[in-house]
Amino acid sequence: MFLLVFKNFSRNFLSPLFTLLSTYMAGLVVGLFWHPQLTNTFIIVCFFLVLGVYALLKKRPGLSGLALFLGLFLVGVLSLTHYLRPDFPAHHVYCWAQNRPLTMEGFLYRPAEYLPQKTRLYVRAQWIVISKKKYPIAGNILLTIEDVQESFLVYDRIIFSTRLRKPHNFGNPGGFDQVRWLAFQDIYVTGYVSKEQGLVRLGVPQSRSWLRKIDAFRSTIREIIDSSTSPPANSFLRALLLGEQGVVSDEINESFIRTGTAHVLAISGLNIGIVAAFFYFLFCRLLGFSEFLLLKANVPKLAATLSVLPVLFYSLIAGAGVSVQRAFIMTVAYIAALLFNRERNLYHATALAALVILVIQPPALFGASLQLSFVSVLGIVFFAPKILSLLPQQDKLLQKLDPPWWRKLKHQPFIFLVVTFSAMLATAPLVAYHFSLFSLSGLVANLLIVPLAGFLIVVMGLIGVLLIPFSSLNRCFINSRLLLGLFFIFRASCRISPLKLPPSWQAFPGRVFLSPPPHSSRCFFSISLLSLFFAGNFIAGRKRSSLSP
Amino acid sequence: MILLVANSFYHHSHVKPPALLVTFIDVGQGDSALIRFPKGKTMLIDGGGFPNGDFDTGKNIVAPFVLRQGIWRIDYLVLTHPHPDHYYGLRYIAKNFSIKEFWTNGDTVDDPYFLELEKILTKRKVVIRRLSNGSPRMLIQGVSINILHPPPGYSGSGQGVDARLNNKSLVIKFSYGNIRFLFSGDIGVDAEKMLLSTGEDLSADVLKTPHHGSATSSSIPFINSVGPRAAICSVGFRNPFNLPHPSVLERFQKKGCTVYRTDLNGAIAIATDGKKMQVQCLRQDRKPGDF
Repeated sequence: MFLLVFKNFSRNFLSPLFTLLSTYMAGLVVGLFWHPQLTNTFIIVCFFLVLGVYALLKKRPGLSGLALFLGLFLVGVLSLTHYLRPDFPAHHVYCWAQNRPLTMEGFLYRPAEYLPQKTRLYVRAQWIVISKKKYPIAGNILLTIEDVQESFLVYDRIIFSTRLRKPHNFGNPGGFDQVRWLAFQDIYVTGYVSKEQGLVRLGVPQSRSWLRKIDAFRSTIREIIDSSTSPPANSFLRALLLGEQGVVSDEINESFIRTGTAHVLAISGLNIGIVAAFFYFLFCRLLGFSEFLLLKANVPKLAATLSVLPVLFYSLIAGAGVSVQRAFIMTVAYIAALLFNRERNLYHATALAALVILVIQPPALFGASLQLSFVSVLGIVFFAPKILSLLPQQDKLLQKLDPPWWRKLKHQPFIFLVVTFSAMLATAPLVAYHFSLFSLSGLVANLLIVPLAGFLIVVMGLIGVLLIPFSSLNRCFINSRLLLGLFFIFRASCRISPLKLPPSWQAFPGRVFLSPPPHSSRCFFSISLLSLFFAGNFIAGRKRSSLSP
Repeated sequence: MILLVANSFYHHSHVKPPALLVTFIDVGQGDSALIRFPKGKTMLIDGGGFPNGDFDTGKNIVAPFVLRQGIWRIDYLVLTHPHPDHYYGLRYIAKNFSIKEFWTNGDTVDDPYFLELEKILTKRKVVIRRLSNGSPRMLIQGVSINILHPPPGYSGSGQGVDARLNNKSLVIKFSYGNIRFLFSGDIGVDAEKMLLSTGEDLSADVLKTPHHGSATSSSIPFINSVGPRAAICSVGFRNPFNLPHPSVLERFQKKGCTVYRTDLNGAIAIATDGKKMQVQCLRQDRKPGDF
């Protein structure tokens, strides 16, 4: 009976991709609270997966669906258990976190984070020094260094003295769970190195891989930004180009939060999407000059493929952190949808991107960044066409009287406003849940800030960065005005970057209000409601397409 | 949007404490307590803070907690004395919440963060009240509030500026029915002696231990005079000062008083209907000496 119901349900209402995604996500949610024994559960998972494949071969779709459903659900549970209840080996740094002074050696496995008065290093421990003897050790340490001026590169080997501690949370209801946040990054131990304690960088790096070269290039960009601009412009540009949000001063950060534009400062799907869109249209226009390509190739698809390169480049110089990786996967998924003629089914592209991201980074499901990215995309896809269809259409004859450039120009801000409104509408419950804040002025502020920060500063900054290797050559050999001109645009964009909103705007009453975060059950209810809307729309769309000749 | 409004309305109309609810928030090494009066008015006493100021307790701890309670208006914002571990967190609250009155002992310090707090309060036109033990007794929604310390014009005692600022802390007594709470700020032995000499009724069921349970406070005569059933130590987990001091804990235990600590118990909520009181702690998983 149950099999029959499940069979009908899966056949009529859910596509395989949505079933896969929702099953895996359900497993992840349960994994947050239930941490089964890893080995036993792994055996059960294998059993269900084998049974599922066997039933599929024997053409028993109901049984195979159920077995695969349970198997995938448990995979989700296990994916989180690995982070939240890890089995530490005896030589793991976690066993040494006793608040005693220790001398350790290791290397940086992630780019360092530079904050106003401290630097955060992500260290993979290798050795512990006890009585001048080295013993092997494993595990990651989040090391905070006090007020250091020097910069670090990935794979730098360091030796340091610190007291290792297990991170802890403040014990208030609804407070930020720092322990879980660090565990999701595979960090279970923290340390602090003061000026007095010191830290020594060892000569030979752990590796000279491409990751280190990219980090060195990032360091060059940082130096150029710092030398060509003064604070706070440099911090703003470093946040937008290098993903170093921590260097942005509280004052500027606060301005962006209050105007509902803080998402611009964090490198997210929006920034990467803007880069992709800009280069897509640029390549389209450039490739369109070639008659050969116009006749022999599909220029939009070729342009879409080529636009992956600047997106990849931007993701790499932005530190390729967790949120940047997510944004990159999402953007590539949409480009792939365009390439495979699936651009009309953006729900599927979104679901596919979510699945890929969650397989690579299971904890991402619980981060505000992923939730907001996907809900805003779904909100735009769902609400924006509906809002636009409700608006009165201008007579086509009258439209033709306007010059073509004006026809395009007068609609762009309006479409942008609708898109922003759709995204805000969809993300409002999540924003209230995560940040207890809702900005009314965001609707207007986004209209100004997003094009300025996204198109002008990010894109021009990126072009400037691409020209860095040529800038020294430029001085010596080439006297190209174009290169110099673009480099000056880059520097000019650095100078205009400290976007300080006028005080009168900040004083606008009701522009921002604090909102009590909705209870998780109510948030779950609202998300379910939105999901129902999406599902309804999806089913209605399918019915319409099946009815049409 | 509709759900947001409905959520706010629900909180505003339904989530009201049945009685007086006092919550000592875990702000690490510092003080902060939220009081919800029987008919919904709110008071925040201190906002915690870390000396280097790079972690804003107001933004990251107090505001999320207060909002979680469905509160976005603080009727009375109280600063017992201007030390970083008491007021750094108040800047964010003063800036972002609707504040009716600001209560202080009148002390000021030459610190950019304190000047910022003053600037915010002035800009937002918050009524500032400088209180002393000469201030009249107040009654807020059935809760009697009595300022016991400092006396008007008192310049503080003790060695050094910090000790003098501590000894000038506001000491406030709340009485609701038969249940009384004594908030003692960071006063030291000198101020305790002064309080005892005034002859005021210091007895209380709940005492916020003076100066985070430091050995230079909570003298035996003071404890005897207060006679608390519960003592609250607002201290940071693994704090470098090793507070609360073992001798202080011993003094309270000898008096048969239960000691609650924010480092071990997390947020400590005490609810009372004026007859009985109920203590609830967020966590029970920590023991002294844990790392």
